[in-house]
Amino acid sequence: MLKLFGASITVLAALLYSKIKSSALQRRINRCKAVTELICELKMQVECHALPLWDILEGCRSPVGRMLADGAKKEGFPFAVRKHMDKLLDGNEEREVLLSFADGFGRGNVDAESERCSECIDRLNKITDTLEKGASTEEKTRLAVSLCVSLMAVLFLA
Amino acid sequence: MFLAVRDAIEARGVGLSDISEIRLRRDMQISLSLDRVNMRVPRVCEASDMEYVVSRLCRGSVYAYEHHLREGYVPVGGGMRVAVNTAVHYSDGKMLRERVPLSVVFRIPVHTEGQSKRLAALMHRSPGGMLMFSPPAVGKTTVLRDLVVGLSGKELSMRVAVIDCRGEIDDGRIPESCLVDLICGCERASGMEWALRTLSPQIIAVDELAEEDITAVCNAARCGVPVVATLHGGSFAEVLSRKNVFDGFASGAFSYLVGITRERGAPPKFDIRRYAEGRWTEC
Repeated sequence: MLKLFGASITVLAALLYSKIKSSALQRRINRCKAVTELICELKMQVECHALPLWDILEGCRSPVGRMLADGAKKEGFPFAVRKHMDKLLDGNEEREVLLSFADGFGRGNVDAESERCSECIDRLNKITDTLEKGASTEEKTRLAVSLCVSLMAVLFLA
Repeated sequence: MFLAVRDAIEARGVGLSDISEIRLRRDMQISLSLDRVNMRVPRVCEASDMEYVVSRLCRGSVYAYEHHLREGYVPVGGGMRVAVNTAVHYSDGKMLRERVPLSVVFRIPVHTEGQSKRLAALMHRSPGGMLMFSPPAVGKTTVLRDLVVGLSGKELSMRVAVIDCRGEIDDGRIPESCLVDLICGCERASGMEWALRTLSPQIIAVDELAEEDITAVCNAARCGVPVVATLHGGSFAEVLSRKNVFDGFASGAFSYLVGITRERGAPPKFDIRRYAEGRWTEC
Protein backbone atom coordinates (compact mmCIF):
# COMPACT_ATOMS: atom_id res chain seq x y z
CA MET A 1 0.00 0.00 0.00
CA LEU A 2 2.75 2.38 0.98
CA LYS A 3 4.66 1.52 -2.18
CA LEU A 4 1.57 2.24 -4.27
CA PHE A 5 1.16 5.58 -2.53
CA GLY A 6 4.81 6.42 -3.07
CA ALA A 7 4.62 5.42 -6.71
CA SER A 8 1.52 7.59 -7.22
CA ILE A 9 3.24 10.56 -5.62
CA THR A 10 6.28 10.13 -7.86
CA VAL A 11 4.16 9.99 -11.01
CA LEU A 12 2.06 12.96 -9.89
CA ALA A 13 5.22 14.95 -9.16
CA ALA A 14 6.45 14.23 -12.66
CA LEU A 15 3.13 15.30 -14.16
CA LEU A 16 3.11 18.47 -12.03
CA TYR A 17 6.63 19.35 -13.11
CA SER A 18 5.64 18.96 -16.72
CA LYS A 19 2.55 21.08 -16.21
CA ILE A 20 4.47 23.88 -14.48
CA LYS A 21 7.01 24.05 -17.26
CA SER A 22 4.26 24.17 -19.89
CA SER A 23 2.46 26.91 -17.97
CA ALA A 24 5.64 28.97 -17.79
CA LEU A 25 6.09 28.69 -21.54
CA GLN A 26 2.45 29.50 -22.17
CA ARG A 27 2.71 32.54 -19.93
CA ARG A 28 5.71 33.71 -21.91
CA ILE A 29 3.74 33.34 -25.13
CA ASN A 30 0.68 35.12 -23.73
CA ARG A 31 2.74 38.03 -22.44
CA CYS A 32 4.47 38.36 -25.77
CA LYS A 33 1.08 38.49 -27.48
CA ALA A 34 -0.18 41.11 -25.02
CA VAL A 35 2.78 43.38 -25.72
CA THR A 36 2.32 42.84 -29.46
CA GLU A 37 -1.30 43.91 -29.05
CA LEU A 38 -0.16 47.08 -27.30
CA ILE A 39 2.28 47.93 -30.08
CA CYS A 40 -0.49 47.33 -32.63
CA GLU A 41 -2.72 49.76 -30.77
CA LEU A 42 0.11 52.32 -30.62
CA LYS A 43 0.61 51.97 -34.35
CA MET A 44 -3.06 52.47 -35.09
CA GLN A 45 -3.34 55.56 -32.89
CA VAL A 46 -0.20 57.08 -34.36
CA GLU A 47 -1.31 56.47 -37.95
CA CYS A 48 -4.93 57.52 -37.54
CA HIS A 49 -4.76 60.34 -35.00
CA ALA A 50 -1.06 61.13 -34.34
CA LEU A 51 -1.97 61.10 -30.66
CA PRO A 52 0.83 61.74 -28.15
CA LEU A 53 2.13 58.63 -26.41
CA TRP A 54 0.88 59.69 -22.97
CA ASP A 55 -2.66 60.04 -24.26
CA ILE A 56 -2.52 56.71 -26.08
CA LEU A 57 -1.32 54.84 -23.01
CA GLU A 58 -3.88 56.48 -20.72
CA GLY A 59 -6.78 55.57 -22.92
CA CYS A 60 -5.41 52.15 -23.89
CA ARG A 61 -7.70 49.19 -24.24
CA SER A 62 -4.74 46.99 -23.41
CA PRO A 63 -4.07 46.66 -19.64
CA VAL A 64 -0.35 46.58 -20.46
CA GLY A 65 -0.61 50.09 -21.85
CA ARG A 66 -2.50 51.44 -18.89
CA MET A 67 0.16 49.97 -16.60
CA LEU A 68 2.87 51.91 -18.45
CA ALA A 69 0.92 55.20 -18.61
CA ASP A 70 1.89 56.61 -15.22
CA GLY A 71 5.59 55.80 -15.52
CA ALA A 72 5.75 57.12 -19.07
CA LYS A 73 4.37 60.46 -17.95
CA LYS A 74 6.65 60.83 -14.95
CA GLU A 75 9.95 59.44 -16.20
CA GLY A 76 9.53 58.59 -19.85
CA PHE A 77 8.49 55.55 -21.84
CA PRO A 78 11.87 53.71 -21.75
CA PHE A 79 11.98 54.07 -17.97
CA ALA A 80 8.41 52.81 -17.57
CA VAL A 81 9.15 49.76 -19.73
CA ARG A 82 12.29 48.94 -17.76
CA LYS A 83 10.46 49.38 -14.46
CA HIS A 84 7.65 47.02 -15.40
CA MET A 85 9.65 44.58 -17.50
CA ASP A 86 9.13 41.69 -15.07
CA LYS A 87 5.38 42.00 -15.53
CA LEU A 88 5.61 42.62 -19.27
CA LEU A 89 7.78 39.89 -20.75
CA ASP A 90 9.58 36.78 -19.62
CA GLY A 91 12.14 35.96 -22.29
CA ASN A 92 15.36 37.88 -22.87
CA GLU A 93 14.89 37.94 -26.62
CA GLU A 94 11.56 39.71 -26.56
CA ARG A 95 12.72 42.00 -23.77
CA GLU A 96 15.52 43.23 -25.97
CA VAL A 97 13.09 43.89 -28.80
CA LEU A 98 10.78 45.88 -26.53
CA LEU A 99 13.60 47.90 -24.96
CA SER A 100 15.00 48.77 -28.34
CA PHE A 101 11.52 49.90 -29.43
CA ALA A 102 10.89 51.95 -26.29
CA ASP A 103 14.26 53.72 -26.42
CA GLY A 104 13.59 55.10 -29.87
CA PHE A 105 9.83 55.64 -29.85
CA GLY A 106 8.43 59.14 -30.25
CA ARG A 107 11.38 60.91 -31.82
CA GLY A 108 10.47 60.74 -35.48
CA ASN A 109 7.54 61.74 -37.64
CA VAL A 110 4.36 59.71 -38.11
CA ASP A 111 5.76 57.55 -40.93
CA ALA A 112 8.93 56.76 -39.03
CA GLU A 113 7.01 55.81 -35.88
CA SER A 114 4.60 53.64 -37.84
CA GLU A 115 7.52 51.84 -39.39
CA ARG A 116 9.15 51.40 -36.00
CA CYS A 117 5.93 49.86 -34.67
CA SER A 118 5.64 47.53 -37.66
CA GLU A 119 9.20 46.32 -37.21
CA CYS A 120 8.66 45.65 -33.52
CA ILE A 121 5.39 43.80 -34.23
CA ASP A 122 7.10 41.62 -36.85
CA ARG A 123 9.93 40.71 -34.52
CA LEU A 124 7.61 39.89 -31.64
CA ASN A 125 5.36 37.83 -33.90
CA LYS A 126 8.38 35.82 -35.07
CA ILE A 127 9.37 35.13 -31.48
CA THR A 128 5.80 34.13 -30.58
CA ASP A 129 5.54 31.81 -33.60
CA THR A 130 8.82 30.12 -32.72
CA LEU A 131 7.74 29.68 -29.11
CA GLU A 132 4.34 28.29 -30.08
CA LYS A 133 5.82 25.81 -32.55
CA GLY A 134 8.25 24.58 -29.97
CA ALA A 135 5.69 24.60 -27.20
CA SER A 136 3.52 21.66 -28.23
CA THR A 137 6.47 19.45 -29.17
CA GLU A 138 8.27 20.39 -26.00
CA GLU A 139 5.18 19.73 -23.90
CA LYS A 140 4.74 16.23 -25.27
CA THR A 141 8.42 15.46 -24.92
CA ARG A 142 8.55 16.75 -21.39
CA LEU A 143 5.44 14.81 -20.39
CA ALA A 144 6.79 11.59 -21.87
CA VAL A 145 10.19 12.01 -20.28
CA SER A 146 8.66 12.91 -16.93
CA LEU A 147 6.42 9.85 -16.97
CA CYS A 148 9.23 7.56 -18.03
CA VAL A 149 11.56 8.84 -15.35
CA SER A 150 8.89 8.57 -12.71
CA LEU A 151 7.97 5.02 -13.76
CA MET A 152 11.61 4.02 -13.79
CA ALA A 153 12.00 5.47 -10.34
CA VAL A 154 8.98 3.55 -9.17
CA LEU A 155 10.26 0.29 -10.65
CA PHE A 156 13.73 0.86 -9.26
CA LEU A 157 12.52 1.66 -5.81
CA ALA A 158 9.97 -1.09 -5.86
CA MET B 1 19.49 71.07 -14.98
CA PHE B 2 16.23 72.04 -13.28
CA LEU B 3 17.92 72.12 -9.90
CA ALA B 4 20.52 74.53 -11.30
CA VAL B 5 17.75 76.83 -12.52
CA ARG B 6 15.98 76.70 -9.17
CA ASP B 7 19.22 77.38 -7.28
CA ALA B 8 19.99 80.36 -9.53
CA ILE B 9 16.53 81.81 -8.89
CA GLU B 10 16.91 81.37 -5.13
CA ALA B 11 20.43 82.82 -5.13
CA ARG B 12 19.09 85.98 -6.73
CA GLY B 13 16.44 86.31 -4.08
CA VAL B 14 13.61 86.43 -6.59
CA GLY B 15 10.51 84.30 -6.84
CA LEU B 16 9.35 82.11 -9.69
CA SER B 17 6.58 84.59 -10.39
CA ASP B 18 9.20 87.24 -11.23
CA ILE B 19 10.63 85.16 -14.07
CA SER B 20 9.24 86.06 -17.47
CA GLU B 21 11.42 83.77 -19.56
CA ILE B 22 13.60 80.69 -19.26
CA ARG B 23 15.90 80.16 -22.21
CA LEU B 24 17.79 76.97 -23.00
CA ARG B 25 20.48 77.09 -25.66
CA ARG B 26 22.29 74.01 -26.86
CA ASP B 27 25.86 73.84 -25.55
CA MET B 28 25.49 77.25 -23.90
CA GLN B 29 24.51 78.53 -20.51
CA ILE B 30 20.87 78.65 -19.51
CA SER B 31 19.50 82.15 -19.04
CA LEU B 32 16.56 83.60 -17.17
CA SER B 33 14.81 86.89 -17.81
CA LEU B 34 13.13 89.11 -15.30
CA ASP B 35 11.37 91.52 -17.65
CA ARG B 36 14.25 93.19 -19.49
CA VAL B 37 16.98 91.96 -17.12
CA ASN B 38 18.78 88.78 -18.16
CA MET B 39 20.74 86.55 -15.84
CA ARG B 40 22.88 83.49 -16.50
CA VAL B 41 22.58 80.13 -14.79
CA PRO B 42 25.97 78.42 -14.29
CA ARG B 43 24.92 75.33 -16.15
CA VAL B 44 25.47 74.49 -19.80
CA CYS B 45 22.56 72.87 -21.56
CA GLU B 46 23.63 69.76 -23.43
CA ALA B 47 22.04 68.14 -26.45
CA SER B 48 20.61 65.36 -24.27
CA ASP B 49 18.96 67.99 -22.03
CA MET B 50 17.38 69.66 -25.04
CA GLU B 51 16.09 66.34 -26.37
CA TYR B 52 14.65 65.48 -22.99
CA VAL B 53 12.88 68.82 -22.67
CA VAL B 54 11.37 68.62 -26.15
CA SER B 55 10.28 65.04 -25.53
CA ARG B 56 8.50 66.09 -22.34
CA LEU B 57 6.91 69.08 -24.06
CA CYS B 58 5.62 66.80 -26.79
CA ARG B 59 4.22 64.34 -24.25
CA GLY B 60 6.65 61.68 -25.36
CA SER B 61 5.78 62.08 -29.01
CA VAL B 62 7.48 64.55 -31.31
CA TYR B 63 5.40 63.20 -34.21
CA ALA B 64 2.22 64.50 -32.55
CA TYR B 65 3.58 68.06 -32.65
CA GLU B 66 5.29 67.97 -36.02
CA HIS B 67 3.07 70.71 -37.43
CA HIS B 68 3.65 73.00 -34.47
CA LEU B 69 7.40 72.37 -34.43
CA ARG B 70 7.56 73.39 -38.09
CA GLU B 71 6.01 76.70 -36.99
CA GLY B 72 8.60 76.95 -34.24
CA TYR B 73 6.56 76.37 -31.09
CA VAL B 74 4.83 73.81 -28.91
CA PRO B 75 1.46 74.60 -27.31
CA VAL B 76 1.41 73.67 -23.64
CA GLY B 77 -1.76 75.40 -22.49
CA GLY B 78 -2.23 77.77 -19.60
CA GLY B 79 -1.26 80.68 -21.81
CA MET B 80 2.38 79.58 -21.73
CA ARG B 81 4.31 79.85 -24.93
CA VAL B 82 7.28 77.59 -25.68
CA ALA B 83 9.33 78.47 -28.72
CA VAL B 84 11.45 75.67 -30.16
CA ASN B 85 14.14 76.81 -32.52
CA THR B 86 15.55 74.03 -34.68
CA ALA B 87 17.97 74.04 -37.57
CA VAL B 88 16.33 72.98 -40.81
CA HIS B 89 17.56 71.87 -44.18
CA TYR B 90 15.83 71.13 -47.42
CA SER B 91 15.85 67.86 -49.28
CA ASP B 92 13.86 67.24 -52.47
CA GLY B 93 11.87 70.37 -51.76
CA LYS B 94 10.83 69.17 -48.30
CA MET B 95 11.80 71.00 -45.15
CA LEU B 96 13.50 68.64 -42.70
CA ARG B 97 14.00 69.55 -39.10
CA GLU B 98 16.98 68.51 -37.01
CA ARG B 99 16.01 66.38 -34.06
CA VAL B 100 17.87 68.33 -31.40
CA PRO B 101 16.77 71.97 -31.16
CA LEU B 102 19.19 74.88 -30.96
CA SER B 103 17.15 76.69 -28.35
CA VAL B 104 13.96 76.36 -26.35
CA VAL B 105 12.34 79.43 -24.80
CA PHE B 106 9.68 79.25 -22.12
CA ARG B 107 7.63 82.45 -22.04
CA ILE B 108 5.87 82.59 -18.72
CA PRO B 109 2.64 84.58 -18.80
CA VAL B 110 1.83 87.21 -16.24
CA HIS B 111 -1.77 86.87 -15.18
CA THR B 112 -3.52 90.22 -14.82
CA GLU B 113 -7.07 91.19 -14.11
CA GLY B 114 -8.84 94.41 -14.84
CA GLN B 115 -5.85 96.30 -16.22
CA SER B 116 -7.52 96.81 -19.58
CA LYS B 117 -10.77 98.23 -18.22
CA ARG B 118 -10.07 101.60 -19.80
CA LEU B 119 -9.65 99.99 -23.21
CA ALA B 120 -12.77 97.87 -22.79
CA ALA B 121 -14.84 100.90 -21.79
CA LEU B 122 -13.55 102.80 -24.82
CA MET B 123 -14.42 99.94 -27.18
CA HIS B 124 -17.88 99.66 -25.69
CA ARG B 125 -18.58 103.37 -25.75
CA SER B 126 -17.22 104.13 -29.23
CA PRO B 127 -16.79 100.83 -31.05
CA GLY B 128 -14.01 100.65 -33.58
CA GLY B 129 -11.09 98.42 -34.51
CA MET B 130 -8.21 98.60 -32.06
CA LEU B 131 -4.59 97.81 -32.82
CA MET B 132 -2.25 97.42 -29.85
CA PHE B 133 1.49 97.34 -30.35
CA SER B 134 4.67 96.99 -28.33
CA PRO B 135 8.11 95.40 -28.67
CA PRO B 136 8.28 91.68 -27.80
CA ALA B 137 7.90 90.50 -24.18
CA VAL B 138 6.02 93.56 -22.93
CA GLY B 139 2.72 91.72 -22.46
CA LYS B 140 0.54 92.33 -25.51
CA THR B 141 -1.09 88.91 -25.28
CA THR B 142 -1.75 89.41 -21.58
CA VAL B 143 -3.41 92.74 -22.27
CA LEU B 144 -5.43 91.25 -25.11
CA ARG B 145 -6.62 88.41 -22.90
CA ASP B 146 -7.60 90.84 -20.16
CA LEU B 147 -9.40 93.00 -22.70
CA VAL B 148 -11.32 89.99 -24.04
CA VAL B 149 -12.43 89.15 -20.50
CA GLY B 150 -13.42 92.78 -19.89
CA LEU B 151 -15.47 93.02 -23.09
CA SER B 152 -17.18 89.64 -22.75
CA GLY B 153 -17.65 89.69 -18.98
CA LYS B 154 -20.79 90.38 -16.97
CA GLU B 155 -20.38 94.17 -17.10
CA LEU B 156 -20.21 94.73 -20.87
CA SER B 157 -21.49 91.33 -22.09
CA MET B 158 -20.27 91.55 -25.67
CA ARG B 159 -19.94 88.47 -27.88
CA VAL B 160 -16.23 88.12 -28.58
CA ALA B 161 -14.74 85.65 -31.05
CA VAL B 162 -11.09 84.92 -30.23
CA ILE B 163 -8.81 83.67 -32.99
CA ASP B 164 -6.31 81.72 -30.87
CA CYS B 165 -3.84 80.30 -33.39
CA ARG B 166 -1.33 79.02 -30.90
CA GLY B 167 -3.45 78.43 -27.83
CA GLU B 168 -1.84 81.36 -26.03
CA ILE B 169 -4.79 83.64 -25.44
CA ASP B 170 -6.87 81.08 -23.60
CA ASP B 171 -4.86 80.37 -20.46
CA GLY B 172 -7.62 78.34 -18.87
CA ARG B 173 -8.58 81.25 -16.61
CA ILE B 174 -11.17 82.98 -18.79
CA PRO B 175 -14.24 82.98 -16.52
CA GLU B 176 -17.18 80.78 -17.45
CA SER B 177 -19.47 83.80 -17.51
CA CYS B 178 -17.55 85.38 -20.42
CA LEU B 179 -19.29 85.37 -23.79
CA VAL B 180 -16.24 84.09 -25.64
CA ASP B 181 -16.05 81.83 -28.68
CA LEU B 182 -12.64 80.34 -29.29
CA ILE B 183 -11.34 79.41 -32.70
CA CYS B 184 -8.12 77.47 -32.21
CA GLY B 185 -5.35 76.28 -34.42
CA CYS B 186 -6.26 77.87 -37.74
CA GLU B 187 -4.72 80.77 -39.64
CA ARG B 188 -5.77 84.25 -38.56
CA ALA B 189 -7.42 85.32 -41.81
CA SER B 190 -9.35 82.03 -42.10
CA GLY B 191 -10.31 82.24 -38.44
CA MET B 192 -11.70 85.75 -38.86
CA GLU B 193 -13.69 84.72 -41.90
CA TRP B 194 -14.99 81.65 -40.12
CA ALA B 195 -16.01 83.73 -37.10
CA LEU B 196 -17.90 86.21 -39.28
CA ARG B 197 -19.75 83.46 -41.12
CA THR B 198 -20.70 81.26 -38.22
CA LEU B 199 -20.42 82.99 -34.85
CA SER B 200 -22.03 86.42 -35.35
CA PRO B 201 -19.46 88.11 -33.10
CA GLN B 202 -19.70 91.67 -31.91
CA ILE B 203 -15.92 91.86 -31.65
CA ILE B 204 -13.12 89.69 -33.01
CA ALA B 205 -9.85 89.41 -31.07
CA VAL B 206 -6.61 88.34 -32.79
CA ASP B 207 -3.07 88.11 -31.47
CA GLU B 208 0.13 88.94 -33.36
CA LEU B 209 -1.49 90.19 -36.50
CA ALA B 210 0.61 89.89 -39.63
CA GLU B 211 0.41 92.63 -42.22
CA GLU B 212 -1.16 90.27 -44.74
CA ASP B 213 -4.04 89.66 -42.28
CA ILE B 214 -5.16 93.28 -42.43
CA THR B 215 -7.28 92.52 -45.50
CA ALA B 216 -9.31 90.14 -43.36
CA VAL B 217 -9.60 92.87 -40.72
CA CYS B 218 -10.97 95.25 -43.37
CA ASN B 219 -13.48 92.61 -44.45
CA ALA B 220 -14.65 92.24 -40.86
CA ALA B 221 -14.96 96.01 -40.50
CA ARG B 222 -17.06 96.14 -43.66
CA CYS B 223 -19.36 93.58 -42.03
CA GLY B 224 -19.66 95.87 -39.04
CA VAL B 225 -17.48 93.80 -36.70
CA PRO B 226 -14.53 95.65 -35.14
CA VAL B 227 -11.31 93.72 -34.63
CA VAL B 228 -9.04 94.03 -31.61
CA ALA B 229 -5.54 92.93 -32.53
CA THR B 230 -1.93 93.05 -31.36
CA LEU B 231 1.14 93.72 -33.43
CA HIS B 232 4.89 93.86 -32.85
CA GLY B 233 6.06 97.42 -33.10
CA GLY B 234 8.45 99.89 -31.50
CA SER B 235 6.73 103.26 -31.91
CA PHE B 236 3.69 104.97 -33.42
CA ALA B 237 5.74 106.30 -36.32
CA GLU B 238 7.26 102.91 -37.04
CA VAL B 239 3.92 101.08 -36.94
CA LEU B 240 2.20 103.66 -39.12
CA SER B 241 5.03 103.58 -41.64
CA ARG B 242 3.83 100.12 -42.64
CA LYS B 243 1.58 100.55 -45.64
CA ASN B 244 -0.97 97.87 -44.75
CA VAL B 245 -1.37 99.24 -41.24
CA PHE B 246 -1.78 102.79 -42.51
CA ASP B 247 -4.34 101.59 -45.06
CA GLY B 248 -6.16 99.76 -42.26
CA PHE B 249 -6.66 103.07 -40.47
CA ALA B 250 -7.37 105.03 -43.59
CA SER B 251 -10.13 102.58 -44.61
CA GLY B 252 -11.70 102.73 -41.15
CA ALA B 253 -10.95 99.12 -40.24
CA PHE B 254 -9.03 100.41 -37.23
CA SER B 255 -9.98 103.43 -35.15
CA TYR B 256 -7.60 103.12 -32.19
CA LEU B 257 -3.85 102.67 -32.07
CA VAL B 258 -2.57 101.78 -28.63
CA GLY B 259 1.07 101.74 -27.62
CA ILE B 260 1.74 99.46 -24.62
CA THR B 261 4.67 100.06 -22.30
CA ARG B 262 5.47 98.42 -19.01
CA GLU B 263 8.04 99.02 -16.29
CA ARG B 264 9.32 96.07 -14.30
CA GLY B 265 6.77 94.95 -11.72
CA ALA B 266 4.26 97.63 -12.72
CA PRO B 267 0.97 97.32 -14.64
CA PRO B 268 1.01 98.22 -18.34
CA LYS B 269 0.56 101.80 -19.51
CA PHE B 270 -1.50 102.64 -22.57
CA ASP B 271 -0.88 105.48 -24.97
CA ILE B 272 -4.16 105.60 -26.92
CA ARG B 273 -4.64 107.52 -30.11
CA ARG B 274 -7.80 107.69 -32.15
CA TYR B 275 -7.99 108.13 -35.91
CA ALA B 276 -11.15 109.79 -37.22
CA GLU B 277 -11.84 111.95 -40.26
CA GLY B 278 -8.19 111.94 -41.28
CA ARG B 279 -6.91 113.18 -37.91
CA TRP B 280 -5.20 111.63 -34.92
CA THR B 281 -6.32 112.60 -31.43
CA GLU B 282 -5.16 111.37 -28.03
CA CYS B 283 -7.66 109.57 -25.81
